[in-house]
This record gives sequence, C-alpha cells and structure tokens, in this order.
Amino acid sequence: MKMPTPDLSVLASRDELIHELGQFLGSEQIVIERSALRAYESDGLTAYQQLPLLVVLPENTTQVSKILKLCSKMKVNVVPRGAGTSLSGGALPLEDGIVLSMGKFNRILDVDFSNRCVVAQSGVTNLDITNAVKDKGFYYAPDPSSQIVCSIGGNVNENSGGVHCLKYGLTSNNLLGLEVVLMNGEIIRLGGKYMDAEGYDLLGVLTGSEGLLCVVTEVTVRILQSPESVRALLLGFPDNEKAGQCVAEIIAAGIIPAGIEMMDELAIKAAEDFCHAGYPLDCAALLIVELDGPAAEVEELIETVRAIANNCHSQSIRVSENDEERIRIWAGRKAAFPALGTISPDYYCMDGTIPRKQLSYVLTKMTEMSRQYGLRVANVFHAGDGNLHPLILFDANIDEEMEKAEQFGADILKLCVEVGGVLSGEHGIGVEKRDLMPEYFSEQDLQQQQRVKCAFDPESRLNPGKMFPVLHRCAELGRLHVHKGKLPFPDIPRF
Amino acid sequence: MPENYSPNNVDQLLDLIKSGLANESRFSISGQDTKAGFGYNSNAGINIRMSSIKGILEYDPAELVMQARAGTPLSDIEEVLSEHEQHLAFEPPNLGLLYNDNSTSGTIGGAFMANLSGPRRFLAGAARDHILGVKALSGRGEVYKSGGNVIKNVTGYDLSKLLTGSWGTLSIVTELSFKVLPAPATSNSIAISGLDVDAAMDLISRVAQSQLQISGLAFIPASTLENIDCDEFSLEQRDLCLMRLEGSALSISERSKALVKLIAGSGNVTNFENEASMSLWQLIRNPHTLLSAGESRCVLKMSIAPANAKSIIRQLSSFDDCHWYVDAAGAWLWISLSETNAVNHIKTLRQSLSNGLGSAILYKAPSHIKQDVGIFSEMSSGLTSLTHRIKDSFDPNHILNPDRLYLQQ
Repeated sequence: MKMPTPDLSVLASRDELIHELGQFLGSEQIVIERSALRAYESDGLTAYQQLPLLVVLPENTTQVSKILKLCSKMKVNVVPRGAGTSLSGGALPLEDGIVLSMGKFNRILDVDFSNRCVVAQSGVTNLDITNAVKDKGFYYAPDPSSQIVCSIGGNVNENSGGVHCLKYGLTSNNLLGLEVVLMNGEIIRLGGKYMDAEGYDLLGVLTGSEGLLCVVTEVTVRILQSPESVRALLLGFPDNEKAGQCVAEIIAAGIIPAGIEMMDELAIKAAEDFCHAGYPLDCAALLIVELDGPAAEVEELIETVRAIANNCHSQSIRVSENDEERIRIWAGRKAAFPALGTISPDYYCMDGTIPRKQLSYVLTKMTEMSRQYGLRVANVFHAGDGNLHPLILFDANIDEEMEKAEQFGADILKLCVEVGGVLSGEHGIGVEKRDLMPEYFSEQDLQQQQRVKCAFDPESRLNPGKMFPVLHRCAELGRLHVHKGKLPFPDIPRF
Repeated sequence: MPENYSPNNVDQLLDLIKSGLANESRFSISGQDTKAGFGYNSNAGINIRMSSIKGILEYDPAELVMQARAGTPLSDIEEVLSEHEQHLAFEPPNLGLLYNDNSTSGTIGGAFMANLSGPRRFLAGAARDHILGVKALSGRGEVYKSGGNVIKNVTGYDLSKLLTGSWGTLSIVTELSFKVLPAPATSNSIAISGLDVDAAMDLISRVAQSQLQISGLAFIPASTLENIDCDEFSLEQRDLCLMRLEGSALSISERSKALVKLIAGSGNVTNFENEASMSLWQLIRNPHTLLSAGESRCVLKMSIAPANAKSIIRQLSSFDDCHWYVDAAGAWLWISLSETNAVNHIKTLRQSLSNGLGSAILYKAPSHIKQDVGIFSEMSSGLTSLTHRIKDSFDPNHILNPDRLYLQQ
C-alpha cells in the first residue's frame, strides 16, 4: 500500500512540534517514546502498520482546536483516532503526521430522557451510551459488532451500522448534533437536541467522512425505547438460493425484521464447533431472523415468517421462546469471526453490498474464485440490506498468500460493483479500498468529492492518503474551464 | 423577460448549463415549480423545469429500493408504490398548497431537494434518511454520481445527503435512488379533547417514551381549529391531542388497548378508524389548512427539543392572530402569523432558540419580511463561511438557484 511521501522538513521539525505542543498540553498528553507509539501503529486492519510522528491526547475542545491550528501552521498532517477499531485502516498513522487520539474524551455529558437523546464526548464507547440509558428501558440503536470498545465519534466518521440497521438505520439516521473542529481550528456546532437543522445537511456529509473533513469532539444521538418483545427464528436451508429466496419473500410480505443474518456452510460448521449454539449441521445455509416490537405483533409475525420458511423448503425451524434461547441463537453468529480464526491461521474480512437478488450469482462466482485462488472463503451476510462479509482464510506465513488473499478480496469487491453493488457497506474505504475507488467512481465523481474535502480542509492535512487514490491540489480542482456556449437552443422544449 | 426551458434529457440540460457558464447566465431550477414561494427570489435569467426528465427506472419491491428520474411526479411514484403495498415512509407533505390552492404535490426530485417529511418524522425520519444515491449536474457543468442503488453503503462521501434539502443550490439532480418500505396495512387514531396545553404535552411525551410504536403525535389548540372549515369530518372546537397507531389489524387492536390504559382519565376520547384516521393525518401532514395559509400569511416551522414545547407555546399564546399546531411528538411547531406582526414575533421566537436549541425556518412570507428576518436564523461566522465554501465547491460561479437560500453569495 503506497502512502503519500513523507515531508522530510516535517520529520526534521519534530522537536520543535513537541516544544510547541508542550506550551498548552501536559507532558502526559504527548506520546513521544517509540515503545509507547507502538500501541498506535495500526487499527483493526492489522495488516498495515506505521509508527506516527507523535501521538497527542487532548482533554477538551479548546486543546483540539489549538493542536489543529498549530499543525496547520507547521504543515503537519493529522490522523484522528477514536478507539482504533476501523477495519479499513482509517486510523493508520502517517510517518510525517501526528495521531490525534480522542481517548480522553470519555464523558457522557447529558442523558436527557424527556428529549429522548444523549450528549456525549466523542471518545465514549457505543455500548456505554446504551448502558447509560438502559435502566429506563432505552437504548442506542446502531450496534456495530465492536460496540464494547468502538467510540461514538468513530461511529460518526464511519457511519457504522450493525445487525439492526435495516429497521433502525445507520449512525447517520440516529444522529442529531455534532461539535466538530475544522483543520483551521474553527469550532463548529451542528444541530442539537432537535431533528431538523437549518441550511445544508452537514451532519449528513460528515457522517461517514472517515476523518478527512473534521475532528468530532461531541455527539448528540437519539435514543429509543427498547421494544416490548424481541424474538428470533433460526432457519436452516439446503442451499443458499432457498435461503436468499426466503429473505426476499419475508420482505415482499411487508415485514421489516430487526435483523436478518445469513451464514453459509463453512461459517455454520466453524461457529458450531466453536461455541455449540445448536446449529443444524445438515444445512448449507442458515438464517437468523429477529423480530421486535409490541408482543402481539411479534407473535403474529413469527407465524408469518414460519409459513414463508416452510414454503421456501426450510429443513429446520427453531423459534426462541425467551431471551436465553434468543441469545443462544445469536451466539454462533456473533462468534463467527473468532470461530473462523480457529480453523485458519489468518482471515481477511471483506465488506461489500449487493442488490439482494444477486446473492446466489455472487456466491456461485465466489466459490469459483475460491477454487482459482486456492483459498477458502466463508460468508456471513447482513441479508436484509445486502451487506456481504466474505472471510477469506489464509496463512500469512506462507509466501505471498497474504497478497493472494488481498487480490481475491479485491476481485470480490469488483464483482459487487459489477452486479450493481458498492465497495463498502459499513467498514469504509480507508486505505484498504482506496485504490479500488475508480472501479466504482469516475474521475469526475471523485473530483467533486475532493472539492467538498477542499471546502473543509484546503491543504489536505486531515488523514491524507485515505479514501482517494490520487490527491489533487485544491487550486487545481477549483479551476473552471469554460467553453464558448451557444444560445438559444432550438431543440430544447420551452414552456 | 426570462427564458423558460423544459429539457427532455440530461444532454439538453448539460448544453444549457455549459452555455450558461460561458454567457454568465443564472438559472432558476425547479421540478414543477410548486414550491417557488420558498426562499428568496432567484433573479435568474433562465428558468429550467425538470418535469420532462421523468420516469421510474428501476423498482423491485423486495429490494426496498426505487430509482427514478428527478422530474417524475411524486403522485406517480406514490401510486406505483401503493400498488405493491409500499410507501415513502417519510410521508412527504404537499407544501405547494402553502403557496397555491391548486398545487400538485410536485416531483420526486423536489421532494428530496426540499428534504420533505411528515408526521412520522420522529419514527421514520425525513427524506434525507431515505436517499441512497443521486446522479447530478454541478454548476461546473459536470455530471457526477454519489451513493448507489443499495440500502447500506459507505463508499465515498455522502453527497446525496448534502444535496437533499439544498433546494437546487448545489447541483441539479437528474436521477435519484431511495429507500421504499412496506406500507402499514391500516391506521387507527384517537383524539383526546379537554386537556390543557401542559397536560397534553406531558401526555405526548409519556406516549412517545412508551413501547407502543406510535407513528403520529400532534396537538391542535381550539384557537387554530376555529379558523378552519374541514369537510371530511367534524372536529370538536376544543384543544385536541391526536395519536396514531399503524400496522396490522391485530397489532393495532392490541396496542390500542395498551394506549387507552396509558392515557386513562386524560379527557374525552374519540376514535378515528381506517379512512377517517388517514384523512385526519392528511390534515396534519399538509400544513396549509390548519394554518389558513391560503390568505396572505407568514408560515414558520420550528424544530425544537420536545421538552421546550411548553415554554414556546406560552409565547405563541400571547401573540395576536397566530395559528399554530404541534406535530412530530412535540418536536415541531407549525406557526402562521399575520403579515403585520410577523417580523417581531419571528425575532422573538428565534431568540428563544439562539443557543442551539432548535431551528426556525420561514417557509412563506412576503419578500420584504424574508429580507428582514431571513428564511434561516443567523449562523455563526465559521458556519457561514463553511456554507459558502461548500456552495463554491459545487457551483463556483453561482449559477444554480442563486440567492435562493443565502443572500450575497
């Protein structure tokens, strides 16, 4: 992975930078020692590592603003980092850049039940928000699988989803307000404890911007009342196609389950061996369908889904009668990644979205590719919204096998685009899929995105080397070529 | 005299914009021009209507996604969806009726560029929560796309959301993909009369925090009801608190029982079933009737923290000649003011929100009032210059709907 060439003059100014930062940060807020910097050398995508120039740990928004102003002045790049769980290398450090860790932004500022929202500093974990409100029966809906550790600010930057986002939306649909700091040090507040802010939807464009537009310091999210009843069905099928058909028919029947997860044969076996969730091993595909809402409604929907599953030749149907049984149904799915880790030295988790009707074609193609590359692939799938997570199994100790796995992964994502899907459903582009962006976007598409980047960060100091395969200078992007035009237009209808 | 074009395709549109760049023309962009009364006058030399660039391009109900050209009438889309028992869950209102008694509901492009949403807002979101992708033409005369045709997508910046609600000031959207959802089988509502404002707002708050999945919570004061003449059904001329349940017949009947228990002893309850329930919420959804906006009046929509509703309502009650109602579980106030006292009242209301406590958008007013108070509240200087840089990044020569949202760009 090629990163931007480090600026030697910045490397040479490291001592000066430490001195300047020391003017307003305590020494414990500046990480200098090589051994301590190691903790920050990669994020959830551990295949890539880089030691940063320094790590700084601000304690408040004013300090963030001062750090960014100083870095702008000294031409130092900045990589914002929440909990460092990105699966696409979004928080991968740069040799000539500081890592701005939001680890000390760990306070919940306001739990407001009457306005059904929580205000939190950006380093608070996703699950801590739910923990702060659950005694009154509320929860925060987006639940990425890293929710125990991932930060809410990171969720905003990646527009994190989870297994329940078909019904309850992604981060962007649950976000009410932000406090952010621009690279020039300006502090900007957007939205708040209300739903419709004025002007352009900056909350919308900042959500999922992968740390390239601003540093998020404070977040206001809405909280929901937990549903009265939550139940799950475990459905086994003889092949992927029938399971896929069952998903389509559930949705065509007007049902939006809280979650629909699908696992293929390899994933089922690995999960069952790992945690003995009682999954049927004679099935080639498994669906978990979770339904939630008022008890009477859930009861009714369970019967409808059961009938649809029977109609789609389901071999086995298990329905949870209590929370314990429901958690057991989920246990295998939740442990699927570590389970696959036990049957292979390494695995590479991919993330693409496809139109659901292409599922069968894509899985067949993937099996072919698996044979070509000589690498096994297991599939877990957020089946409701078409988000695929193929796990490529490989052994990094075997020569060139990691490169082969990466190539296989790239081919899977190209296949997703070919069938009308996209490069990433929820893990983001980061460095991982940066060079695949031209598979999906034209040069013109990418340039318009970069112009928006220029409106926030004209010197491209925030997280450079991520998301965009080619970095253009803002002056070059802003140039407008006007050709002599003609008027009037005899062919264009008038009214 | 302005020139009026209605291009048949994107190539013709591109020709117009490119020549506009060369000739320093400015364009006023609309779908069917139903919401022209929103925003400042554009002073454009060329009017472009998108209504001929129309048609549904892709729709497979099981995928929960529809793709359509921007000029497709909203009514066509709603009709096709309802044939498959689906709908736009954000319940777009017909805002055109604020400006013109005979207005249609406009185009799908217009619905998204205005970021419309209805009474289900607090449960199902606004248009911005349903947009999935766009193809658009920037003020640089360049065609680009953002997003895609799938529900879950984080590939690149979400420019589709940035364009939603931008009222055509950043780009001309030519195609949109959006999420569609199963429509509820039926709807039941109750009207509770005889509660004073504070008791009603407390009740709304309690019901909104329940597990009942309420999809409509509104309050209409008697002072607003007495100005309207509603044919579909008779509403008592007393303060009314309205609650809506949607879903299957069985689910509604169970939840109705729980709701009745929750509100026990709160006043006189009237039931509205099926069709009657739907007409009732049409009244809330399309604000023109309750606000008597047909006359020359100013219309303001406040979006607030629900717990502040009571104090703002106290202010409204002290105003002369003011019609208002509460929607979206206490998070919205639709307000209609007479021209003579609008300026002072709007300033007072905005002052109460000045610490980031909400928004107050002026949807309708004579030009001089818009100029005086602005269609949006005042922004911080940092946000103002960021907004202008974003406009410039799409439309550096300010040829698309110039001045519609922000003056002196």
